[in-house]
Amino acid sequence: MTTRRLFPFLLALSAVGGATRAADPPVRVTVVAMLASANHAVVDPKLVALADEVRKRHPKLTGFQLSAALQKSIPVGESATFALADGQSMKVTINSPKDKSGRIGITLFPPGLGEIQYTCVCDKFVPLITPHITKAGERLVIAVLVKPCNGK
Amino acid sequence: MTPPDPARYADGSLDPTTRHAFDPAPPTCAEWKRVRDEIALRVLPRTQAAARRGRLGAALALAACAVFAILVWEGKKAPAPSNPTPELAAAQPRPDPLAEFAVLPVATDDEMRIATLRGDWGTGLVVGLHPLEGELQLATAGEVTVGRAPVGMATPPDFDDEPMVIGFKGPRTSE
Repeated sequence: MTTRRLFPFLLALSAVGGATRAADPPVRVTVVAMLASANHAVVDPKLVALADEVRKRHPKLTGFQLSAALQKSIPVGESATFALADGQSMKVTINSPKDKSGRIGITLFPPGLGEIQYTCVCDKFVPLITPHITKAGERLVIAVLVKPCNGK
Repeated sequence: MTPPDPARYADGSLDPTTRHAFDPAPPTCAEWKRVRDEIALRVLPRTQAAARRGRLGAALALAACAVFAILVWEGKKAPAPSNPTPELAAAQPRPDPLAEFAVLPVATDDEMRIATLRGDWGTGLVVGLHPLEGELQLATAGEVTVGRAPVGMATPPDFDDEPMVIGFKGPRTSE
């Protein structure tokens, strides 16, 4: 009896929740794949700041070259897979839309690292150093940026 | 007049006068005209229908030839497909996702909050604080107060010295 009384309420609640979720704009995810090397010191001008941060953890990585820059629009609650360099790929899930503090919730499954779930401000790249090494001895480094598709 | 024996009429043994008397009368001009009219009525429509069918077939064949010729001509002109193939689409320049950046901006530790880490991350993280960054700080005696523990959990006797909660895997029997 109680269940019967609660059912319309739960149904309305789920409908409201669904409408709220549907109103969230999709998130534009930009993934940059870089190849870092200890055999040269050539750094792509766009990667100067990223290279500086990576070198704090891996001082031997001196050269940074852009391998791929990918962008996808992903609805909140859904996932997409990005094809990275050297046959590697990464699944990205958008967990939550931009909150009051301006952060978007995201889960990454980078190659060889497992899973990371975090929130981050928009328009900033989060770099990750994967354990994947190419045949040429270059290490695959990833950077991920999220941004609401309406640009706000 | 008595009709002659048909056998004699047939074998020609009757005399000519008697034979001519029983010869059938030749058809008149009116009868010939009626026969010709019937022939015309029955034969000519078929001929006209056949002619119509022939004309229709010829027209269809001509149309098919025309369509084929147009297709061949258009094929030679090699028009651009309405839906470009993936190869052609890939050949077209895509907008650069990084065009808006002269230098890619990097998030700081304060701008990234890690909620969950699974797997061996080692030195994979560049920014953001690891949830277990540094030495684990254990609560000390007096910093924890257990109000009520569910069934299957208990606090050790020396809880006041080393606060911890112990969980049992199986259903706990009453002591």
